[in-house]
Amino acid sequence: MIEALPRRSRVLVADDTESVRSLFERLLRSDGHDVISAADGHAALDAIQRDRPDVVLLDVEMPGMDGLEVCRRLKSDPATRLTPVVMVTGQTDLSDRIRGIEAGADEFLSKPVHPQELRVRVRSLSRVKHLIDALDSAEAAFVALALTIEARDPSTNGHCERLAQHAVRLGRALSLGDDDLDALHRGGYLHDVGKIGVPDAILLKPGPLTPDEFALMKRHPQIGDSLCAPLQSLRRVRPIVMCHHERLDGSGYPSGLSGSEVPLLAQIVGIVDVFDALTSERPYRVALTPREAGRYLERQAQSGKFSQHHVEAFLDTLGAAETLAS
Amino acid sequence: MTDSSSRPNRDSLEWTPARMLSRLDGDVELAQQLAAIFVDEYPRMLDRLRAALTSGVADDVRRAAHALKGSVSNFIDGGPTTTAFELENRGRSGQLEGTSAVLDRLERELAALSTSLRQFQSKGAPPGRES
Repeated sequence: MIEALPRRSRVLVADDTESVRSLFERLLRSDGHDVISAADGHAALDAIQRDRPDVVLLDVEMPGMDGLEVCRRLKSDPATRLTPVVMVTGQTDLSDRIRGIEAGADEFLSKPVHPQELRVRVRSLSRVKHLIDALDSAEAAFVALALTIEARDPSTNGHCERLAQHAVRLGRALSLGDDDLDALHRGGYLHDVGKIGVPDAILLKPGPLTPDEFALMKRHPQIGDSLCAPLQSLRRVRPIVMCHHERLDGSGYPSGLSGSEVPLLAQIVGIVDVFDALTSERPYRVALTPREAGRYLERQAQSGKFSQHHVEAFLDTLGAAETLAS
Repeated sequence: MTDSSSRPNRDSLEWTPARMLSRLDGDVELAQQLAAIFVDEYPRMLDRLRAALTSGVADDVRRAAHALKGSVSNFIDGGPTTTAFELENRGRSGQLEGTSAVLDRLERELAALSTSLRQFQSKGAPPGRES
């Protein structure tokens, strides 16, 4: 399992009172952290963008832009939303705490801050941030692996990226939530990561596979699932990796699931995977037009392999320019 | 008869390094550094509060008093911390009548604290008063 290696943390202290900044700086530096200071909200946002701190300490009341607004902006930016934020409030400021929770703050400290409490909170949140970073790095390595697999086959160039885009578009059309859309995006890249276990001779074969070769190819969802299993951050992506070749009528693989047994996100990736494969040129056939591929998907839906509603929604998302041109 | 709003808070006269040093794990150097910064910065914060009260903008009073409270609370629980909090609440509620007497009290309390902090800066922690 992945563990975060100990490293120095970078902590941003944002407070318009110099004595408070000095106290925090001194205490945190003596605890081994690198400290950046900001005297107002705008300077804090600049420092967050520039220095990517591991932990952010925000005073609520600051000139220009207050700490609550800084927190809201930090938490709404995908690049910084996992950065832990500690709001520093007065002891009696319950309303500030409530507004801080609404703004996405992770922890609170009351003034006057007790040094030991400050150190313990920052140490704890630094550990959390380092673990998040380690998981991000592992996931980035997985995506790199998936793109490397894609690069083995020149005819699939750009497949993962297109799949991610199509899947998210269909997810939006089906009114899925942000967590599901995020899983679809990552699943678009990672769905075939298990093909690392499929030899080039099979993966790149310019013709029909023998039964034995197909049996080996059909193992890639399980291999991919095993690769993703140790990463807790991929728990919502694993059903896509494992089940994107399952079909509603039970004719898919690896488990022959049917109906509602096939996870919704895997159904979505299954539809857009087939579409992208058909509209891409292969050594053994020319690419179909989007309209031809759309008709194929409709026939597959009529025969019970895909949801008709999902296929129709997908074709709608492609728009007239894509589906009707040819 | 003395108006209670102008009477000095007894706590302001009772500042000792002991509580502060206890909070700072006995770090005299840090305590002296904080004292020096505070002695330098509080007149500007007081000016800001005074200007806010003169302008009569309640939210400015609340903000200025809040900032001063946060700074002075590093040194003392009562006295000027309590008085700054009182002005912060006046700003929050928009009731600024009679605040000049409260401001006078705050100035006296801060002056007393400042004198104590200057002595502490020059002498360090008195023997036997660190804890």
